[in-house]
Amino acid sequence: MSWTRRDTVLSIVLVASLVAAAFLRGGLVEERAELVPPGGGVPGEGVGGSSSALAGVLSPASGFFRPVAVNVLWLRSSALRRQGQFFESASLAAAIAELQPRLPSVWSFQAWNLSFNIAGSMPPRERYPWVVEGIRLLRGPGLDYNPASAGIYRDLSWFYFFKVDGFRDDARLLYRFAFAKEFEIDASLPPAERRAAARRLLDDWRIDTRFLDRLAQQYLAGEVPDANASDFDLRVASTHGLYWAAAGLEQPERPTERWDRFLLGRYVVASLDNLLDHGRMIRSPVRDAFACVPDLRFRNAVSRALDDEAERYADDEVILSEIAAARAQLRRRLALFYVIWNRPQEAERLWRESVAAQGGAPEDHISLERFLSLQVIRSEDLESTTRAEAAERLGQLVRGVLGFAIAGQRDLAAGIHRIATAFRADWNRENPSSTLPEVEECIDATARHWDELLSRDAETQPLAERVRTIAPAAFRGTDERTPADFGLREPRDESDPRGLFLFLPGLDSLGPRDAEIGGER
Amino acid sequence: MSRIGPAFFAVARNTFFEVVRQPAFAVVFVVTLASFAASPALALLTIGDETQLLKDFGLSTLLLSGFVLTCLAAGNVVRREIDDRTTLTLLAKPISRDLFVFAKFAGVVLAVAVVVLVFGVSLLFAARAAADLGHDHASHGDSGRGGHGHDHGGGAVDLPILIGGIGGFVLAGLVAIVRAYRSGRSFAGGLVLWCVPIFTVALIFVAVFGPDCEVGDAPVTFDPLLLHGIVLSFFATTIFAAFAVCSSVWVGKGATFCATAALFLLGLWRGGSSNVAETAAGTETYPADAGGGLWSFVPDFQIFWVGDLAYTPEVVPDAVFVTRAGLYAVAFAVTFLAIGALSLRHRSL
Repeated sequence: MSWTRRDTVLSIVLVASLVAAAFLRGGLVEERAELVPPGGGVPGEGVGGSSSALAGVLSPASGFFRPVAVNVLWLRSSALRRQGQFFESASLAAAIAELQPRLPSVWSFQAWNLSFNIAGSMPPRERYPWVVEGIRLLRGPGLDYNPASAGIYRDLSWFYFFKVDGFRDDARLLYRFAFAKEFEIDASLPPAERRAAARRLLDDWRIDTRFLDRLAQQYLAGEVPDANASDFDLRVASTHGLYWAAAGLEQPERPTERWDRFLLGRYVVASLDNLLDHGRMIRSPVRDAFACVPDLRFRNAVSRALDDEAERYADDEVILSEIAAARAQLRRRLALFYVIWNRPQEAERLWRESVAAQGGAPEDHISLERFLSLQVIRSEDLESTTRAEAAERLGQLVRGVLGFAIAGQRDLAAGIHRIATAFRADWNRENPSSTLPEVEECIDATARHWDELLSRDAETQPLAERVRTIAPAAFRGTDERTPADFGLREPRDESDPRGLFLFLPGLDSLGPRDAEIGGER
Repeated sequence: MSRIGPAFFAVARNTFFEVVRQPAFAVVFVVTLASFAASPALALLTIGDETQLLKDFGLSTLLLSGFVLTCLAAGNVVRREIDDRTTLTLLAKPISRDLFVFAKFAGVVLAVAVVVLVFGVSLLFAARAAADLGHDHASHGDSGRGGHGHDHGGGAVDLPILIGGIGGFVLAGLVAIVRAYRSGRSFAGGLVLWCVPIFTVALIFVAVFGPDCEVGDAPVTFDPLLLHGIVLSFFATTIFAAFAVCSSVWVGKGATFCATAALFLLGLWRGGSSNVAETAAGTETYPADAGGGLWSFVPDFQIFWVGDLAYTPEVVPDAVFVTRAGLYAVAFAVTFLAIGALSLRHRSL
């Protein structure tokens, strides 16, 4: 058939309709994208992240087969997890995530499997990458697909402040130091490269500095002039825990997520509490080791967060009583933190306030000295502690005194010294038949021992000289007693001078949580 | 010219009845309804957010079933006429080849519209039943998207849904059997067609009566996301139908099915591969940019997919979006029909 006028008309219609379709599509796609908030999870800003094209096809095109497949896979994955086959379970969960990416619980299941189950089945030194993988999964596709899900924010916060920066996992120190190293930028780089590296880090970990600014103004105002994002130490995982918990609370409130939001409020408090407890990282004289000591800038932040919680649950008697108990404990712990930072007057004042708040006669309450002793031995009373255990604790404190002194942290060294003295005095008063040696004698013995070890290696020779400067009395006389002579526990790895600093300050014997120095061996 | 209209409608009408009488069409129809009926129970097995899941799965099933039914309906709609040489008879009448294509399309779309209507009603019933079964207590009636507004505790059976949905389907089946027995008419066609009025009445019945058969102050409203999703799914099927009719000018049912499936997947891939955040930021880079203008020929089926919005509270595409999506579907349908008409005009019969 030859080309007719009708063919021309049809061709024109064809082209016109195609152009119209292309024209309409632009606006539709834009409008469609605006319906789903972009990923990133940070209020007011989407950092971005690609959604899986495969999931984009599977979701609409799989029809009724999808719920059937999801159910079968889910049941199988759960069964495998119960049987301890975590890798197999994870691979099935990954398939569920492809099929059902808009379901937050799928991402949570998978992330928990990676960060807790699989990581837990590994030797301590191999766990950290699995922990981070779970975090990445939540922070990446989990949030991309579910940007407003309180459950994802809840888990993210928990993974940071509890798993990485918590106190339950026996590999916690490895997590903390590995995590801290992620956020350390090579100081030898030119400023522009350092800034670019910092930007990459923030993007990679999906941190919005503007939101962090807001958090700084909310929690650090009054403690730090012109508080802003840079006042947070991103090397500390609890900073991230705070960030994601607070970001979760910024999301629209959904009736199905009341419990998650309740937990998010708690996680804000817990993250701030961690920051107060051990949020200050002090680099050890040797690489790859940090001291995690109390950060007093957060002393009011925890209190403010508790105020927020009290306001939020003003009509819930149970929660209010829990908050009151938390406040009382906070006051006592603050007294300990003040002593650690060698601020005894403020510690005493807080202790008196704490006693007054509890009511009753002052003699009904334990003294600050006894409280410090109990914190050192981590026990309810001194009677249940043996002399060997007490000496071991004293040894840790002595190493702490020396370690902080070498690191140039005089306040901390003096604070730990004060605790060691108080502990010894209290112990000796209660146990006159098995007294502990003088703190100064222990320091001198430890200094001589360290000097000997550090002098063996040219690299650590300067540290040996610092030891001699710090404890000159140890080297004047003819006393050659070693820490072992006083029953003080020795560092386990004596052959490596770095090992000294793995255990030296022994702050892990202090506080209801764990403020410690450790390092990667 | 005055005889073109009746001829057009005659072709469309015949196509419509041919389509709905196909046993395979009825089988897919029944399987889809059964899947909607089973979906509240299936959502129970999954993890959290059951009502949202049901909406997501339901809309996905609707889209997939619409696609399959359209392929069944239109896959052979022109080619068979050419092979049987009935086109020669038809085209001897005052109907041009292009109008023949349009009429075939109209018949197919009408048949698909009928089943999408029944599917849509079933999906609305399933969503209400899922909420009533107490799978999602917290979102029960307070999802912000309507909901039935009655709270009668979780775990109870919604009697109006049972009567309107299951009872309606049984009634349609009985009527179809009686008609097939008494007048020898197609059972498959009767089942599909009788479901339409019965489900429409059932929808009104369910809207009037609450879960405990009580009459509320105002009619029960249905989830607007589902309502819009059903309409958008129908728009998508019109594109499938136009493409399948166009394809059937040249090839048979199998090849048309494959070609339409390819278009469907390609269209989803095209939209799904875009970066949502970049889109929102106005910096999107689609494969279209890399592949030149060729992508303009592929409809973006993500536009018609709103199942993922079920998980985002308070988010529903507005009527303007739905209208524009309808225009988008019409534009592509016209494009494919124009190609089909041009093809038939230049094809040797």
